Amino acid sequence: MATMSGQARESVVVLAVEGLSIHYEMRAATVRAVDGVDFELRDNEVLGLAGESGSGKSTLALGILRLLRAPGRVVAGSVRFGATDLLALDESALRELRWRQFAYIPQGSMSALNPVMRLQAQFRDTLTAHGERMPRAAMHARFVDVLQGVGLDADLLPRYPHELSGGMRQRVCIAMAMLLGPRLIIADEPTSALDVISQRVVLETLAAARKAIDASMLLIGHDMALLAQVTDRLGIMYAGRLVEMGETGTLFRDARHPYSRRLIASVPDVRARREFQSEAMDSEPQWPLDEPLQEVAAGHFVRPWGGGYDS
Amino acid sequence: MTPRYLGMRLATFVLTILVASTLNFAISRLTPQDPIAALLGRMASRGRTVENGAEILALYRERLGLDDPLPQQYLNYMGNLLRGDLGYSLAFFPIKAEAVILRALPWTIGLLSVATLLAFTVGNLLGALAVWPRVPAGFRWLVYLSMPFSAVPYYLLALILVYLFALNWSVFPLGGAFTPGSVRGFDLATLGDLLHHATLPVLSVVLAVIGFWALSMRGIMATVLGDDYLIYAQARGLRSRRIFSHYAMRNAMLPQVTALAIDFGRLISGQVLVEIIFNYPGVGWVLYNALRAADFFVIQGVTLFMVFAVALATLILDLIYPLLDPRIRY
Amino acid sequence: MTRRLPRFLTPVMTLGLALLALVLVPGLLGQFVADPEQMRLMAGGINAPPGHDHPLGTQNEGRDLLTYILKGMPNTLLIGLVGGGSAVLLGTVLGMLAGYVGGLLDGVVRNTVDIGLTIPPLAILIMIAASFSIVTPLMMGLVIALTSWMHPTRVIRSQVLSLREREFVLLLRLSGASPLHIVFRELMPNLIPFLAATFVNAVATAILASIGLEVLGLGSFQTPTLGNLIYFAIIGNAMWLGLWWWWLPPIVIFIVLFMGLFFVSTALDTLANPRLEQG
Repeated sequence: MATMSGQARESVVVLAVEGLSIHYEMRAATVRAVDGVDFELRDNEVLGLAGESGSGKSTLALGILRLLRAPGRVVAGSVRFGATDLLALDESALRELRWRQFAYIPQGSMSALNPVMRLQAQFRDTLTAHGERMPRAAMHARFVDVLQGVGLDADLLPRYPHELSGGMRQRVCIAMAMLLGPRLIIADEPTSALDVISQRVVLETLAAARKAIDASMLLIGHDMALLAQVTDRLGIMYAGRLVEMGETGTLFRDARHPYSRRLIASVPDVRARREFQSEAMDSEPQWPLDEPLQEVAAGHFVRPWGGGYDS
Repeated sequence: MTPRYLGMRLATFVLTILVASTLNFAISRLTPQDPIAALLGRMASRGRTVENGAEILALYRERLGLDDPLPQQYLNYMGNLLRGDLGYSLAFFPIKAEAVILRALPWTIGLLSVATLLAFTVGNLLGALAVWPRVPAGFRWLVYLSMPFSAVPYYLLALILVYLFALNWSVFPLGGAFTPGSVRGFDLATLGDLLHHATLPVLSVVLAVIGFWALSMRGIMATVLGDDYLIYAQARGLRSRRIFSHYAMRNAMLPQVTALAIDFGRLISGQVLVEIIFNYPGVGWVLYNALRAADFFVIQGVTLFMVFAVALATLILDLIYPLLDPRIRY
Repeated sequence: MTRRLPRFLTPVMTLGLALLALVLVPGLLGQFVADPEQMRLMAGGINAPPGHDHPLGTQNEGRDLLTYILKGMPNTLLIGLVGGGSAVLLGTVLGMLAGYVGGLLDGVVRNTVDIGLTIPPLAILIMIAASFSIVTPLMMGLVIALTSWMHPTRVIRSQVLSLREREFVLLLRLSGASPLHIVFRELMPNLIPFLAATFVNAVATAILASIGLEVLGLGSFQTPTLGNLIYFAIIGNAMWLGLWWWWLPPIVIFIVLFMGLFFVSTALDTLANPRLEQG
């Protein structure tokens, strides 16, 4: 039956993160950037993770992708990609999976592209690293294809990154992610460094490109309005922990945790959001974070903070 | 590269040479006596006599035009320089100073370029590998090991190398650029002989400079390792070797190329002194002998050569740099 | 997270200071113990190896080498201090004024420095030393400073440029403090560790330049220095004659001295710029 197979397809878990903790261990102090995070990402699903800078969401992305730099270190938990335990893979097996299976769209791609290499060489490097042997013309056709997929012109290929605008560079990174048709895309604040108009364009481009290859996506961001547009489910991160998670619609209608509510409430007013951000960044957590998440409705989880659940 | 930048850069080059040669002129004319007499007098006071002193003195007074007014002298001096006429050598009288220097030039250029390239390449690789992930710890120790050498002047290191490898163990010759009396031609035996003689001089420069490059590269690479384009390259599953060469090194080398231009003066000065230790028949050796023989025009010529060589090397590196870094547009 | 300032006596600093003490203590005090009679011609036998009467042997004129070294070290150190000190003094004044005042003054200083840096100091020093007689270590130091002030100037100028955009300087300027007051009373203390590192480097550069001149035979031969000692050893064929006690001790002293200076300047750099600490 069509519905059955549709449901079965939907329930396939692409990415399962369990009890993941990442610490920055420095001489002066240890910072718990990510602290016992669990979530699942299903096939063809877009999961958003929202929180302010400093909430640990970028660290989480790098941790899942095994791209952490010292002093950052995964201290506990597991990351499963399909049946594979990503944290247990050796370098070469990991390299095989990268990009072919999961791609990454970095935060503020201003500096993500090699400044001294033409774009076509960077595209070519990505293909040849995964053993794609094909004639030059075929390769070029492939690059043109992915560039057009994000609304860019082929004549960008012989250019250097600094010759492109921020929005163009961000779209180049989206095109790069499409190159090998991955099952999973992890996008870390793909629009953070852009002006308001480019933000919308880039996000729509990203959503369309993802849909075209039926990939799942973990989309990290701080702009609730943008996240609301493209995500199926949404997790709210605060001080390295998830405080609430649920269907995007449910969350916007019926957020329970006070932090989630403040994030959502901040959407229309840029000024208020700024103030809020600075307050949250330099103070101790305002809410207890130690109790386990509770399911308050089907698929809607909230971390108890000592107040009532009612809206 | 715009013609404007090229013009500006060439102007700086000419200005540098002009300033240095004017300084050269001014210094030699500021002495109370004329420069030749001063030099001859000082050599005599150190117990070295110069044959036909008086005769040569007269010849030089005429050449320098010391009886002319100073501006006229300056114009003569610059005019001669422009024509590449440095004056006569005192020690090899009918031979001109520029001929003496030109004869020594290939040796110096050969030694200097081999030593500089070797030290620059090895030092940068060593420094980069010292912080690259999953590289054996031995590399880190090699860098630490090279540090004390970088604090020691080349020529002192050269003396120790001569003592150990030439005098004590006789592995390498004591000095010179080739075996005296040997027939030189374009064959392997000649090449082997040249290399055999060049090993210690090159080694003393290389050992001293490797540490300098390794240390600064280590610092640069430590920063580059955390750069976004490196993380992004790793995320795309590029091979570690490719990331190292085309992403990390390619970018980390840029400040090092700039540093090479700045450091060139120090390199050539050290080279001059190393040649003296090894009796290597380059420009440094010519200078040393000229100083001992009060060979004024050769001394002046060698110092001008040093200035010219450094200015030229800096100019070339400056013109190449935009090719290495596409972000630079002049 | 609070970052505590690294303490002054880091391991690198301690190592550097210990090496320096090894040279400086005998270098400064030894001259009072040394017997000037031993410096005379034929104070001992010719080319005598180290022994009871002459702990470091004698050279080809029968002078006692230990005495020569003890008498020569203060002169070598003086050249370094005078040369490095004057270069940094000149560089500090020029760099601070150029960096803070800016405008025409800055343009002139910057261009002079840029051109000066491409002229190898040794080339100018050789011309000076070949045309004038440099008779005292003091003169030698000053002449070397004339050719080596550019680097300190450039380094200090760029520091001042970055400091002057800091908030406290802007506030001072708005409050009407005079530029001179701001530069020398307010910016100076921030630059102290930095100046110290620059000074140590300049001392090393000055000593290095003086050895270079002396090895070329352009030193002042009336005064004993370690560089002259090496020159005479080369001239006297000490190496080929196997007289290691003649040429080796000054080289060992230089190596210890330069390593000490190197470690101290590295440690000072770390103090001046704590970011270098990691990595």
